[in-house]
Order: sequence, then structure tokens, then C-alpha cells
Amino acid sequence: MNNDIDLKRLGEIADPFAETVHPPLRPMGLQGMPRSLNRSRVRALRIAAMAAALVYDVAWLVFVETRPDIRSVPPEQLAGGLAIPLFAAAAAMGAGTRSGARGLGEPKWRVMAFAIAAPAWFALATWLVAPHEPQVELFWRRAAGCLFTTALLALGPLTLGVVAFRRAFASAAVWHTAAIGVACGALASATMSLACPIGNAWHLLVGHGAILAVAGLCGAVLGRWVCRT
Amino acid sequence: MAVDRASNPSVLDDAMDRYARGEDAAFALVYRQAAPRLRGFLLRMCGDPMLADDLTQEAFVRLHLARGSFVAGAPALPWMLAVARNAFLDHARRHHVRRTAQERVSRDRAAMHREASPETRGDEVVAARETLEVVRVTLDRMSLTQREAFVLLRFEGLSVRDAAQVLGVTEAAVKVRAFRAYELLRAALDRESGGSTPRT
Repeated sequence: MNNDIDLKRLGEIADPFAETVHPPLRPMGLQGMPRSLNRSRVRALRIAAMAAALVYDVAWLVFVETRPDIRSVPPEQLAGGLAIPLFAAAAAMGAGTRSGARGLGEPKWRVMAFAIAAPAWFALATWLVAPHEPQVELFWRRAAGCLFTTALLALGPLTLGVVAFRRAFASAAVWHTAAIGVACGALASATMSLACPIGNAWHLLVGHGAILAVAGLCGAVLGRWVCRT
Repeated sequence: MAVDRASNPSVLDDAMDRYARGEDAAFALVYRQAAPRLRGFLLRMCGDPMLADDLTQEAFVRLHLARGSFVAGAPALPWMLAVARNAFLDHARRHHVRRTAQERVSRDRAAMHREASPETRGDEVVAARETLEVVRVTLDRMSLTQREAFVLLRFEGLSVRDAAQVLGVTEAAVKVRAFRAYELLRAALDRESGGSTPRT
């Protein structure tokens, strides 16, 4: 149908507001307006928020828990556990925060694609790479415990992200903040791979991976109210 | 296209850039350059001049609070129109703006018929006003998504690409929505003139 559309024909329609569209404007100044951050301060705030998010998750590993077998785990296994979620985090964060060609962010369909593809990538790569045996004893209890921990690990970065990107998105804010939420969930999942010794694929998907979707949903809800200009 | 040529894109872009960098003195120029465009867009969306004035002020408060997020080197107008659209959508959700707009249109139409005396009723001026009234009523009655796509392309002079960015949809969706709006308007105008309106 798109090929049949001749937008030049829109010019046939007269403007009913042509006579009333330019009255004298109400005067308006900055007096009485709340203070707002300029561009350099916004940039500094966002860099500080990203640094604080990383410190928050590293602090968890240092002060709360690290997997007991961390010195005996093969380095390539640790690297794989980190690389899969960190790649998802980078992709989602990039899509959510890039300014785009016109300063309104990446097109909505692209942000949507990355916000959905990042968790899908995590699930697929984990399913293909992680061992499916042996079965985990008390599967649901351990998965719930890890899900709770990853939720705590995602909470800090997500809160910082929402504050740093407050009123940042004029268009498609829900999807932009959903992508940021997915990135925060993926960061939490990467951190969890250094805190939890269980490597079973199902455990990783449910206990460490579900947070990507949960944080994405939370980001979408928060974005609607906080991050939309 | 009914685009306000009084506002200069490069002047507005430069002023907005300075304002985003923290130069408060640039606000006056930003307001002078952008307010007529935003008010025109909002008036065409809500159909009520007083409400358009209020929403323009609301949009500028939002622009002020979000100025640090304005991207260096980006065109200012699409970003501002997106912010103004958000101000309108929030208001519409709160106050059911379409119903009040339709009440206003009914009042305006009654007033127009009262003003038209028997001597002038067949005049071309009255015919033109009736045509505009049909456009206004049809704009009010069509869906919001169709209206905003049509207004941005037809009256604000945005490219399909910029309109798609402002609305957060694909370029194909903007084209389809605007063209469906055009078809509704064309059909209404044809009905008004008994099917004799010439297509240009």
C-alpha cells in the first residue's frame, strides 16, 4: 500500500487554523521555573551513574558473596558466564541510550528489537553453551534464591539509570527505558555468574536470566512516568 | 505546506544548542523562534486556542527541564514537537480533550450560521469558511494517530522521517496514517460539496 501513497495530495487540504495560528504570544521567561541541568552536567551525571552501577555490583561480590569455587573454575568458563550477559547488556544499553541521527534516539523499532533480542540472545547462548547435567537439587528454591539476589543486583543500577535518564526521552520513552532495564538485568546476571557456583543451563535461565525480562518490564513502567520528557 | 517561515531552523538550532549548554540568555530567542511553531501544532491538535496557549507554556517548562538531554548538533524542532506532543497527550488523557473540542466546534458552527446573513450566504467567502469548518470538524473526529501524522506532514512541513521520529513509529506507519486522514478529509469535503469538489 505504501507505494500507492501520494503524499503530495495532502496539500489539497486547506488549513482551518491559518488565520488563528499566529496571535501575540504570551510572554514567558525563566523566572519562577525550576532549575534544570545543562548538557555537560547531564553527561557527568550519566557517567557517574554508570560508574556507580558497576561499583554497586562489584561491591556485592567483594562484601556479600563470591562463588566458593572461583579459584578452581576454568577461566574460559568464567569468561563465558560473563561474556554472554555483558554482550546482552552492551547491546541493550547502546540501543536504549544512543542519540540517533535526529537527536530523538534510535528509531522505535530498532530499540524494540534490541530490548527483545538481548534476553533472547542470553537465553539461546546459555542454552547452547551451559551444561544441562547434572540436575540441580532443590531446583526451584535455589533458582528463586538467585532470582531474588539478581533482583537486588539489578535494583541499584536500574534506580541509578532512571535517575540519570530522567526526562531524557521525548519519543518512545517506554522502549528506551525498557532497553536500559534489560541492560541492568544483564549486568546483574553477569555479576551473579561470579557469585553462584551452579552452572546448570536451566538454573542459569531461570535464576540468573529471568531478571533481564523483569528489569526490562520495570524499566518500561518507570520510563513511562519518569524518563519521558 | 502551511509552515511558519518566520522561524529560522538554523537560528533555532543554534539558540537551542546554546541553551542546552547552560546559556540561560538564549531562552528568549528559543521561545521567540519555537513558540509559534509549537502553538500552531498544538492548536491543530486540540482545536482550542486557549488550551493551545496553556499547552505551549507547559511544553516550554518541559523543554527547560529536559534541556540537558538535547543532543548537540541535532535539529531542535522535531525534538520540541515531540515534547509538545507529550504535553498534549498527557492533557488529553486527563481531560478528554476531544469531547470539549467537539463542543467548541458545534458552538463555532452555530455562530458561523448566525453571522452569515441572507445576502452573503451564497458568497464565496462563506463557502470557503464552510470548507474550512468541514476540515476542522473532520480533524476533530478522526483518530489521534491519524490527526497527528497528518498535521505534522501537511501543516508543520516535517519530512516523513522526522515525523516518524517525533511519533515514535515507522515511516510506513506515518505515511499510511496521514493518507488515511487525507482520505477522510477528502470524503468529507466531497460530501459537503455534493461530490463536485475538484481534485487538484
